[in-house]
Amino acid sequence: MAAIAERKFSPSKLNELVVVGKDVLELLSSAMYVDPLTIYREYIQNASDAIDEAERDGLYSNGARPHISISIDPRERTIKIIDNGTGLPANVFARTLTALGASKKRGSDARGFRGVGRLCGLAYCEQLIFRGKSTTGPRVWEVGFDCRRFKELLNDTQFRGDVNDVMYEIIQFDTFEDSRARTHFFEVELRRVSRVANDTLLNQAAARTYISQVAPVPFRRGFRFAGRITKHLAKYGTGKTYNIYLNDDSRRIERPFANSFALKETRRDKFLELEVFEVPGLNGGVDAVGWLLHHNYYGALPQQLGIRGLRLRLGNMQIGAENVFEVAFPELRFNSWSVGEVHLLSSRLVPNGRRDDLEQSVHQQNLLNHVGQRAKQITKRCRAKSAERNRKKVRDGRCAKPPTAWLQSLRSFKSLDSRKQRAFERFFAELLRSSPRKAKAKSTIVAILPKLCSIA
Amino acid sequence: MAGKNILLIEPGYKNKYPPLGLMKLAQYHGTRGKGDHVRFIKGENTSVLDTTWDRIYVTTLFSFEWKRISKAIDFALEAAGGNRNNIFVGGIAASLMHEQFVREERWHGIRFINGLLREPPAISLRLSAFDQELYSDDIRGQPIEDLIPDYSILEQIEYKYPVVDGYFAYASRGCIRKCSFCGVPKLEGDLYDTPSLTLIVNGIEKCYGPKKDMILMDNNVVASPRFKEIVAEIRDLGFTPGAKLQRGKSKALRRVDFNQGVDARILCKDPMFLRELSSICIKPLRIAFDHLGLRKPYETAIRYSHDVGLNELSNYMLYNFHDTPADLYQRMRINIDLNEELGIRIFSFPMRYQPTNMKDRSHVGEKWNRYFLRSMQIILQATHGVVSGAPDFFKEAFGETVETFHDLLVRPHHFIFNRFWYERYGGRDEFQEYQLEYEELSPTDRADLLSVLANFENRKFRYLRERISNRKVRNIFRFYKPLHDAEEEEIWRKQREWLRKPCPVPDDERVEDAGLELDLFAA
Repeated sequence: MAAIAERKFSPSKLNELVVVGKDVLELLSSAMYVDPLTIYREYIQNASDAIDEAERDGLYSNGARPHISISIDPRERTIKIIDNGTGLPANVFARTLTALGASKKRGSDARGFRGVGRLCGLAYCEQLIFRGKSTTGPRVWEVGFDCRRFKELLNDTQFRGDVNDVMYEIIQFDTFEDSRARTHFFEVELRRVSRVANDTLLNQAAARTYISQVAPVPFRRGFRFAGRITKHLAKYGTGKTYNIYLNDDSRRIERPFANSFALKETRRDKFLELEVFEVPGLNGGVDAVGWLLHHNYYGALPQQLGIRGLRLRLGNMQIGAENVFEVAFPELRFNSWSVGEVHLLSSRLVPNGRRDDLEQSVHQQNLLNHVGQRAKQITKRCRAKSAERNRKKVRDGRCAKPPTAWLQSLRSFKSLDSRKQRAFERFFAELLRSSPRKAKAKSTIVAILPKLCSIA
Repeated sequence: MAGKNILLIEPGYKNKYPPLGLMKLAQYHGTRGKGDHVRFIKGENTSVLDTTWDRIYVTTLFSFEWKRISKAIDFALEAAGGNRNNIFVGGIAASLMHEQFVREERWHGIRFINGLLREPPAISLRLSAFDQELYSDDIRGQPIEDLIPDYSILEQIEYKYPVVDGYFAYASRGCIRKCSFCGVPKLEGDLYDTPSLTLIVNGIEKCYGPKKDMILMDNNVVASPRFKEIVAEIRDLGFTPGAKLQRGKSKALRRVDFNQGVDARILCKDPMFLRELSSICIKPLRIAFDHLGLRKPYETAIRYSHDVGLNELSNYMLYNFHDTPADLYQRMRINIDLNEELGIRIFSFPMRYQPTNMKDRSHVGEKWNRYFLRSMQIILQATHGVVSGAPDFFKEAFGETVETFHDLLVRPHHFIFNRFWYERYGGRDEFQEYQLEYEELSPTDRADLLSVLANFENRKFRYLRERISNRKVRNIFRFYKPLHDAEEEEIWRKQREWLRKPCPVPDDERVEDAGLELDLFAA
């Protein structure tokens, strides 16, 4: 390859050359998040980061308790996500909320760090408002995005402006004094929410199910493994939970794990054993920590339970869906037989922009490598349990011996009509009875069957 | 960073020497190196599947063991959970047939190392610092090639290498020659010096205790400009004639073995070379005799070695290359004559040529055919691959003249395999009948018979017989009908005592890849 000469453009020349077109904004909003429900994840993530910061600043010393409340109003078609975290100081409020991809959180412990997640709401409502207040001043500040206008501009082929021009068109500010407002809070309001995906955004049940799986909420009270899991995660400084409330429900949202679960209408199973593990980092230290809950492995768990699959979490927020580690299993299907989580600890493991998986790297490979080993062991358990059950069935006389290889193979040839098939079966059975070397005869039968069936 | 899990795999082929490359990698990663956990397996050992491996190295040796090598690489993939980035394949076959490995689609992403790990580790192993690969920052460390082999990993496997009690080292690498049958020019290139032998030997001794023998794998040590210094170094290390290693109460004779042989074309130039070599406890002295054209230098070299008292000689003999069976016979014969004349003992090891990039041993030289190769293999099987130096034994095994050798190669294989039975015992009548008929054949008939035999396969016997138009040939062809297992077992039962004689040469002096177990007709 010819080397590129190391010549630099002057800054002014570069300014002329590099164009940031308006379509970038689409990439950062609607294109980024495929599942509309991810907006809950993005805003809860920002809220929990703000609460962490408030805790560090000692803002809850007066007895207030950190919480995140979500209100969904299907009639007004609004969603509000409010937290009593640190809020944003007046001097940076507007600047922070209008910046694109310039988060100061990268490299910190915060869950988000790219500074684009907050724009996800742009795609799903007509008006997106950020409202907040910090302890530094008495005023409430507001930044609003006119999402309707935003879409129009994106689709307008005549519009020649760049990112700045679009932002100028769609953003409004406001500030006011509100004596009733709390000393510090942040609020996201989505107005006139779109009816996307069966209006799933305003579906309380769907939102609750989603949040219970994805958000850093505590385990259900009475879940007998809760204490041990929480303690294990806490040892590594992760697994922190937050109280999240939906609408007027005074019960906080909890994780969906329970001591037992229904596999199907007629069959229940329960968790028997907790296994915890570490994923050592390539460069030393522990990259991740995880837990598995073993049960009787009767089969795949139903999806609606919201617990199946080996899942991935960072800062106790789920990354990707239940199938994020599917590829680590020798057979994909066994992922849905498993229950467990992997919590990332190392900053070398970076979630991708969409947060549906990790950025590819040697460290991610290393994680997959180790998780793959666990997956293999789960698969072994699944197979062993299944074989054990089959043997028991035969023993109890509940089912006939499974057909032998040659019978299975014979029955798989659809070209034979049932009369011929029976004739063949009788013929070979007789042959086998009289054969002195049964194993050899069987393998020969299996070998010649395809040809025989094609002739017959 | 320490504490990584490193898996070393040697494919499940039979070989004579422990895998030096893997032993050096073990040193690099092991307790004296990075402090990782090193596990060594030979073949496919499923117990390793329960561990998460941070890196897997597979070595490869003979190119014709492609099948076993493939199995080992596929197994490595399984052990790595499909993560190709963690797998490294190196060694002789991976270098000689580099392209064929790289071309295999299912192995895409595995790093195949061509040649030696002569650069600092991260560079030789092509580790990317950009991708933050494990140990990718090791760009200044000592090359893995120069490390002391870790003997301790050999205890992790059941397989016993015929040769282990030795210092495995090189005093020089590469070769000045470019013989077209040889892999060395491609593997190592021109002759060059290696780090001090003394350093390696002392290092091994310090870590793993003293070793009885010194196995030097130089390709052409006599061509080295440092030859005299090298020999002096070996002397200084205590490997002089009669030297013994004391271990506890027992004492064992030490020996030096340049196991790749030395070059007759250089030895014959100056008696100095053999005089030097006679000052160390070299046993056996291996000299290659690759084609009849080397007769003069070869004979001179043998005479020189006799003059300096080196009488235990061993001799590599390439066949199935550009040579004819007669050429091979003559070379073996020359050895016998020299033995008789000088009263020495030369053991020859005929070695069947295979192109260095062929995936199996199916190559047939232009002047050979499969039938002859199989005959030769059967003869050698009876002698464990060695052509004895004793004249009587030789004449019995290979015939008194080129013609009788030729007739022997033409014989039905079960006549060769059960020679005593057919020549002296129960099968004598049948054999004599065959011989009478064979002697009746005219040169044309014999040529016809040969052309049939060239394509001979046991299971094709009837098919071939039906297509022979020459009446005499068809008639004699009946003797070539393969024996049933039961018939052969019957013969063996009756003459068990002559079936196998003990091998006249100890295991560690024999050739490692004579291919005696291979069934030429199985493919």
